[in-house]
Amino acid sequence: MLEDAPAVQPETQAGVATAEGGYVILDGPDGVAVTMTPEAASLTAERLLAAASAAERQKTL
Amino acid sequence: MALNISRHQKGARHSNRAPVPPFRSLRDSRNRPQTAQRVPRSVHGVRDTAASRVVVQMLKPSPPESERGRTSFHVFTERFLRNRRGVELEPEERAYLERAISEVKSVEQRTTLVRTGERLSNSTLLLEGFLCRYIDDRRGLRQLVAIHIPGDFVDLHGYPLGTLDHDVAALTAASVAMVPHAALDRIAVEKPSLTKKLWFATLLDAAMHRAWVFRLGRLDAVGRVAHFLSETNVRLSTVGLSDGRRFALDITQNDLSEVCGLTSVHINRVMRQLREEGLCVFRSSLVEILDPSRLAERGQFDPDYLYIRNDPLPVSPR
Repeated sequence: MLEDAPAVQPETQAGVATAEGGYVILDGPDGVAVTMTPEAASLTAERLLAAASAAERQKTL
Repeated sequence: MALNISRHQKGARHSNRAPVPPFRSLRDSRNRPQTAQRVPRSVHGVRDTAASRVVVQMLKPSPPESERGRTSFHVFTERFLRNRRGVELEPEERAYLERAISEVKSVEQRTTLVRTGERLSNSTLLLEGFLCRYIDDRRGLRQLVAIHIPGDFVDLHGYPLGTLDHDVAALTAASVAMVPHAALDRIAVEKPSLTKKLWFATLLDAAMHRAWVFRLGRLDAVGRVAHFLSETNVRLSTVGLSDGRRFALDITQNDLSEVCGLTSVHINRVMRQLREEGLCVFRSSLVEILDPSRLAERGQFDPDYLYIRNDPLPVSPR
């Protein structure tokens, strides 16, 4: 039954980021598959870190 | 009229063709838009359609009375719905469908056959080569939503819909048979069981679309490619174009990236991974599946949704 299917949960596994041909490839978690320029990857990384810190603070509230 | 069928090589490869430029988008303003062209079909007195670059190489003659109904004449529909669970075309139905074909023509690679919203009066049966269905985003970047192989009725759904919500294009040089919608009207009236089987064909497309959604939504990059190649292997095996491990797949790495929603950089890495893991090699338009079971498992591929009657593969992935 549809109700028995597990809801999509937040990922607990980290994605894997690698460099390939001058780009950054993010594999996972789950179905994530993204290729970014180094600049976009750096900015994404900054934003991810900021959001992770904010999420941590929210957990303690 | 003499029947001049120019049979393409397996997978419609042309060994002396020029390298295919990056196929980023047919709508990309940086590339010259390409459209299929049809020359006037004055022999049948058919009104010209809009100018295009498809060259008509032959017109299918009506079979002589003595040949009608003989399976040996079913050269165009022979692969259609071959070896499918739950459906089988009777010889009489296949002959009827053959007679419904108004023309057979060759299509150059990288040409558009049908555009979104274009009013349709024919449906296309693919005989040789590969066609695709695709949708472009606002930036002109493409998502392929289907790949069609010989034996597929590519836009049969255009018959009841009247127009399509996507484009249809040739990934490779191809041969197609045109079935006028007027002929499908007659089939609907005179051959209800054949009509049901044509409906089945559109539902097979829908099943593959569901699998496509699953592939893009739930699988990682390696899984997406593994699933697609496993699916393509089974589909081509069903129509005799794969031996279960090797098949010609004359598409570019860019095409594969548009199938799997990945960049070509990512595809390149995935193919290297598949090769290093001993699963699959894709080189020079030839796919060699080294371990079909493990490749299917990696792609979470189960061929059940393809409704194959007799499993054509040497190892059945479950």
